[in-house]
Amino acid sequence: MIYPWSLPGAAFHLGVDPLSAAFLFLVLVVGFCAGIYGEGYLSASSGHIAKAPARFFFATLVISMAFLVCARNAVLFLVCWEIMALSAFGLVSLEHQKEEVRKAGKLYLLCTHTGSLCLLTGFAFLWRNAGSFEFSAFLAAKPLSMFERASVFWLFLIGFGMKAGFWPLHIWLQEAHPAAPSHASAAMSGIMIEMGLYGLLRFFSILGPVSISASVFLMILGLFTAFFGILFASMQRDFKRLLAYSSIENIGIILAASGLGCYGISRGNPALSLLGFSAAILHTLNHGFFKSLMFLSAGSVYLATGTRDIESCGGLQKIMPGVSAFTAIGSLAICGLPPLNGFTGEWLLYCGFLQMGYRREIIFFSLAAAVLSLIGGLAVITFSKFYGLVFLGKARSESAQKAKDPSSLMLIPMGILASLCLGIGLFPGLATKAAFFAAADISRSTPLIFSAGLQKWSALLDAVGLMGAMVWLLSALLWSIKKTSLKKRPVAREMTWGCGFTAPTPRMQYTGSSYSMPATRIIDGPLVKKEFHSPNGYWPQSSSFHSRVPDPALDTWLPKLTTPLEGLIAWPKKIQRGKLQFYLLYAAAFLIVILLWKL
Amino acid sequence: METLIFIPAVLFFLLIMPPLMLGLIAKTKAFVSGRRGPPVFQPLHDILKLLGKGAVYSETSGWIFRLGPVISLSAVLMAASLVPLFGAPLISFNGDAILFIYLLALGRFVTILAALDTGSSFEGMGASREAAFSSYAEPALILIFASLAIHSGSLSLNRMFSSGQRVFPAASVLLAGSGLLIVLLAENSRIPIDDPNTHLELTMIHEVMVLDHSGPDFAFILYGAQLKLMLMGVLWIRLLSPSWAANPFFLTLSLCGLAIFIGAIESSMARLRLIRVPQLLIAAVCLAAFGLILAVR
Repeated sequence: MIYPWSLPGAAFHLGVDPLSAAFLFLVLVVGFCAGIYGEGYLSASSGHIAKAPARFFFATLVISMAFLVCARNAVLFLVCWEIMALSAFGLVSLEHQKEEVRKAGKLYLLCTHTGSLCLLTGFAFLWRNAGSFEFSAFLAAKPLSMFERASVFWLFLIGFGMKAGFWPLHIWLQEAHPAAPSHASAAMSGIMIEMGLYGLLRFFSILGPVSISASVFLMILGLFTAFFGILFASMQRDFKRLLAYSSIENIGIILAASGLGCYGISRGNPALSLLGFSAAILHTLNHGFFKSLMFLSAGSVYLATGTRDIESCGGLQKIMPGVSAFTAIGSLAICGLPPLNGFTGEWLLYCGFLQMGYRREIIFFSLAAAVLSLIGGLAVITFSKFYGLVFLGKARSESAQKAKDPSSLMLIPMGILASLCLGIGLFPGLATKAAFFAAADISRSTPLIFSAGLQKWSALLDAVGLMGAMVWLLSALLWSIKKTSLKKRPVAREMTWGCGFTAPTPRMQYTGSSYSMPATRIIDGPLVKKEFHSPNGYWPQSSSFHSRVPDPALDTWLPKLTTPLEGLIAWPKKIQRGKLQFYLLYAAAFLIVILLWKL
Repeated sequence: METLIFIPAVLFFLLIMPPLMLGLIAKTKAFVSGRRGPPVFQPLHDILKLLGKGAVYSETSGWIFRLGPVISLSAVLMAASLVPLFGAPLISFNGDAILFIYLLALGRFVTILAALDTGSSFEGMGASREAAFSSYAEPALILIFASLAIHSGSLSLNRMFSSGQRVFPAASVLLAGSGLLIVLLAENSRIPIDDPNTHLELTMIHEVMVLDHSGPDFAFILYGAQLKLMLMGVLWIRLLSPSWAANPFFLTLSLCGLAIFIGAIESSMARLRLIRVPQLLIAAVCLAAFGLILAVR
C-alpha cells in the first residue's frame, strides 16, 4: 500500500511480511488487553490520573506502533517512532504532580531523543547510499563501505538499544515504568521496548550479515544485559521497578538470541541463524504476553493496596483470588518454567547454543548456556520473592488486609493474557511457526533449510508442549488421589509451626531483602548502599538503618560523565540572569555594536 | 517376554529404589557411628504410612500450599520419564536434557512458593537458601550436559548418557563426575551442603521448607526428593560407566553402592558453613568447565 506524501522523500508505504505480522499481532493483542484494563484502571483510580490524556496517549501509542511495524519507508518509520516515543512520554508523566514522575519523564525524553538522533543519522547514511528512503531501495542499493557499515551498525545499535534497554542504555527503564500508570507500563514494557528489537531485526534483514566478532559482541552484550537486569530485579523492593529490571533481563535474552542468529549468518550456517532469530522472535512474543500480564497484576495490587513496596504486601492470595491465580501463571511463565510459554523460547535458545553441530567457539557457547541457566536461577529467586511476598503469607500492612479483587473489566484482559501464556506453553506449534516464518527472511535461509528447520523444531517443541500437558494431567491425577485419601480422614487447621512460639505477628515473616540476600551476597557488596546510624551514648535517642540499590549506570557512572560536561557548558549560563534589565542591556549593547560596526 | 520383565523392573526402580537408597544411607551412617539404625525399608514404610494419614494445614496457607507438593512430584515424575534407567527412557527427544533441568526447577519453584505460603520465617529462610544454592548448581549441570552433548552430538539424555562411538576422555569424565557429585549432593540437600538430620530449624535448608507439610502432602514431598536423588544417581553412574549401566543388576548394585558412598561422606564430615556453600558450588562449576575444555580438545 503506497500513498504519496508531501514530505520530501517520504511515502505512506505500508506492507506486511511475516516479521511485521508477528509484531503486529503482539501489538494488537497486548494493546487490546492493556487498553480494556486501562478503562477499568482509570475508573477505579478515583481521579488520581487525568482520564482524557491517558486515553489519548494510550491510543496514539498503540496506533503508532501498529503503523511502525508495517512502515516500509524510513521517513514514515521515523515519524511513527517519534509519535510512539512522545505518547509514551505523555503516559509516563501523567501523574506530573509528583516530583519523581517529572524526573522520570524528563530522563525518558532525553534518552528517547538521543536514540532518535542516532536513528536519524543512521537512516541518513542509508539514504546517501541508496538515494531514497524506501526500505526496498536500501535493500537494492550497492553495498555500503566498511566505514559506513560500521557507523550504521553502531548508530542503529545505540538508537534501537536505547529504546529496548540494552545495558548501559537501559537507564530510563527502571525509572519510567514505575512512574507510568500500570496499563501504560504494560504496553511500554510488553510492546514498546520490543519495537527497539523489531527495528534491530529489520535492520539486520536490510543490512545483511554482520561480522563474526560483532555477532559475538551482541551475544555477550545480551547475556550481560540479562544478567545485570535479573540481578538488580532480585534486589528491588518496589515491585514495578522489579518488573522493569526483569524487562531488561528478557530484552537481553532476546538480544543474545539475535546475536546467535547473526553468528549463524556470518558463519554461513543458515540453519543455526534461523534457529537463533526464531528463538528471539518467539521469546519476544512470549515476553510481550507474560510481562504485560505481570504489569497488569502489579497495577491491580497497587490499586488495591496503595503501595508498590513488596514488604508492605502479603496474604493477597485469599482476598484477591483472581489476580493471584493469573499472577501465579505469569510468574511461572516469566521464570521460563516448562508447562508455560516462557520455556519455549529459552529452550530454542539453549538448543541453539549447545547443539547445531560442532563449532569452533563451542566453549564460548557452552559458557553462554551456563550463564543463561544462572539467569534462569536468579529469575526463580526474583519471582518467587515477588509472588511469595506479595500474595502469600500474611498481610504486612493494614491496607493489604483490605484489598479486593478488581472489577471484571480489569480481570478479563488479565485472563486473556494468562490463557495465552498457558496456551502457547501447551501448544507451542502455532507460535513457533509464526516465529520461524518471521525469521526466514532475516536468516537468509533457502526454502529447503527453512522447511527442514521448521519441521524439526516445531515437532520437538510440540513434544515439549506434550510433556507440559502431561505435568498438568499427572498433577490432576495426584490431586484426586490426595483428595480421595483425605476425604475419609481428619483434616485440621492449625497455626504455622513457629518452634513452639504461639503468638506470631505478620512482621515476623521473612522479608524480601533477606530472601534475595544469599544469592546476591557474593556479588552485591559494592552495589547495595547502606546508611546506618548506630545508637550512640548511654541513652541512645534514635537509630536507623536504610539500604537501597542505586543503578550503577544511572546513579554512579552517568554523573561522572556529565559533571565535566556541565562545567564546560556552565559559562554561557552566566549571562542568563533571568532579569529583564539584563536582557534589555544585552539588546542595547547588541544594537550599539551593530551601529558602531556600520559606522 | 521382554516387556514383561521391563515394566516390573521400571516400576521397581521408580517405586522401591528411591526410598531404599535413603534407607541405605541411614543404615551406613548408623553403622559407622556404632548404632543398629532403622531397617533399610523404613523410608518406604514412612511414605506408605503418611499416605494413609490425615493432614494438618496452616491457617495462613491457601491453595498454593495444597497444590505445591502435587505439582512438584509430578514435575519430578516427568523428569524421571526422560532418564535412561537400564534401557531406553520412556520418553526421549532431542533437547530433553534442558527440559529435565527445567522440570526439576519447576518442582523447586512450587515447593518454594508452598513454603512461603505458610508465612513462617523459618520456611522463608529455607526457601531463600534453596533458591540461591540451586541457582549456582544449575550452571554446573548445564556445563556437564554441554560436554556430553558435544560428544554425543545430541541433547537428549538417552544419547548423552549411553556409550557412543566417540570415547569421552577419562580426565574429562573424572572432572565432570566430581562436578556432578557435588551438584547431586547440593540438589538433594545432603552433607556437606545441608544436613537432613539436623534438629535446628535455623540451620536447615530443604527440611525447613517442608516443616508444615503433613500426611499425603508430606509423602509426595518425601518421595519426590528421594526420586530426585535416585535420578541424579543414575545419571552419575551412567556418566562413569555408560556401557555397564545397561545391565539392571549392575545399576541396582551401583545405586546401592552410591547410597553407601553418600552415607560414608556424611559420616566422615560435617556440614559446611552456609557462607562456604556457594564456594563449593562454584568449584563444581569450575570442575565442569575444565571437564568441558578437556572434552573439546
